[in-house]
Amino acid sequence: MTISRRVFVKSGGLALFSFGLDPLFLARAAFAVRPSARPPDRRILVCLFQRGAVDGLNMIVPHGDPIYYRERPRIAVPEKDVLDLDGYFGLHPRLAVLKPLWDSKTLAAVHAIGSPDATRSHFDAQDYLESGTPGVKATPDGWLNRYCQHDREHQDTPFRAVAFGPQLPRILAGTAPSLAIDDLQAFGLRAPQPAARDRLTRAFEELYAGSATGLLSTSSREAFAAVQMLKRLDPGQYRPANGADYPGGRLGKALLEIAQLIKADVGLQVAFADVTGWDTHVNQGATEGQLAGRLGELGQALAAFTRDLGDGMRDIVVLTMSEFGRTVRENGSSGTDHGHATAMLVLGGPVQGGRVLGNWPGLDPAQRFEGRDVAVTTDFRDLFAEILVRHLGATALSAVFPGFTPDPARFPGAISA
Amino acid sequence: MRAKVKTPLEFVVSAARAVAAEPDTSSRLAQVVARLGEPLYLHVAPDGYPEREAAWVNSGALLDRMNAAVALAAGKLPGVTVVLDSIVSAGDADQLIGVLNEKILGGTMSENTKQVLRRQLAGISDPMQARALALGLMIGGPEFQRQ
Repeated sequence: MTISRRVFVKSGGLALFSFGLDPLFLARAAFAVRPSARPPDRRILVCLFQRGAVDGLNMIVPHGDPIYYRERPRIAVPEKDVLDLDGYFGLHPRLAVLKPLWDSKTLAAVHAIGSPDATRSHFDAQDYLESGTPGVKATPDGWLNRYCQHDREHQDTPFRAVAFGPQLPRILAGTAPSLAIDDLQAFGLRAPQPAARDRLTRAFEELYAGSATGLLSTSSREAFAAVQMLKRLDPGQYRPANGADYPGGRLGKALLEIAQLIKADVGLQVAFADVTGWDTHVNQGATEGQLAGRLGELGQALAAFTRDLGDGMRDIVVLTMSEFGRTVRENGSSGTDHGHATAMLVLGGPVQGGRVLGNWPGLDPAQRFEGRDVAVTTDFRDLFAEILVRHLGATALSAVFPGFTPDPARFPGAISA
Repeated sequence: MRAKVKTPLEFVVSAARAVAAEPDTSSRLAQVVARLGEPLYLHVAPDGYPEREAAWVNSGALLDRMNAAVALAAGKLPGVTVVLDSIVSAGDADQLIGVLNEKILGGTMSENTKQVLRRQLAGISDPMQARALALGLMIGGPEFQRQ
């Protein structure tokens, strides 16, 4: 049993309460994995959702397989352009900025990963990836939020779980406090001058402090605490470190703001951002083109983030995810259609990198899912669970992934145990 | 009574009605509803928009409501035209608070809210500005968030 001393120190009453009444107690006792000596609440997970289904085969290219070239005469990345990783797989050339991370073993890829549900609908598959319950539509909350609900060792701050975007995504929806920030500088009340802004903020704060009840009361307290913290932070003055060069656009901005919050030490533990443009049905391109452009932006953003955080990356894991992969064979429009398994990237100090993880099923039609797609050999929940347990020190996994029993024997091995 | 928190749609519609706002024919007001967290006809799961307040109330969403309320009272919310004279004429603070309490909150304004409004209005000499501030605070404040 690994209820640490910190539980009692930080949230004594709550922890004692949960000893008596929390049915999760048994689950925790049964799944007490705490391999890390480092306090888990310094550790941070950043999730990047590639919405639209990234073509895993052109991101982490199986260039050692002739079937890949046979099935994709117009859109395969030519052998001469692929950056070889292990003799069989290679990086898309536009991800070259990530090669040094691979070489320093802080970047891993998990291939043939995905949902056990067979849907090829973006809508359903994104829903399942975010709810963490493939095949079950009725789940009200997201798995990242459930992690926050059940891991009570980490102190809740207004910035514990932050999504960068205009709305709170499904993955962070739920009863644990979580915040959607579209623009760090504009977060809070808007007024023409700083003095008017401060006065308006104080007025609303007094209104809610005196008259709000229930969730309105707690949420407003969190909101005003966050506004205060951000005011001290002065986001407009932020300059990335080490010459980090974030790409223009939403993804670069989101990662820059995540880096900023991490360095400000405001208690950020789980960050989420999404990036669209991966649904490459038409003219996907190969070394250059549509997908190459998206990958270039992704690579540049991740490289800038890593450079900006510098030594701070020892406590950070960045995970890319996408709802499914794309067909092995190119379609008639020089693109690819909705498939099954894809590839996910895991990078950061705690990562056991320099390896393509997962069980590669092969590209032969007989080995494919329904004869057309890369088969799923790693349930994405096994990777998510591994990161929650080995990186963030989660203990209540059965509550995070209801109906699923994570098994360390099936963890892909992305995080140092 | 008044236990449930309004959904974003309920909040925007009731706020617009409270100030007799005239919506234009564009989708801009619907976009405000979407920004507050309820994109119309785009709910992901097939079970309909939730009625639980936890689905709508979080710190970011609450700040968004306050901003929308202030913008509405200032006549700057996209998609609607507001003529505040039709609600309340600009008068002294107590009169303003009294009328707005009746018209916007059905007379349920808490003593705390009255005091906060009085303090806020005390420093403002321009009656138009005072009226917009009082309305913005009231619509963005806690009482107005409940059904």
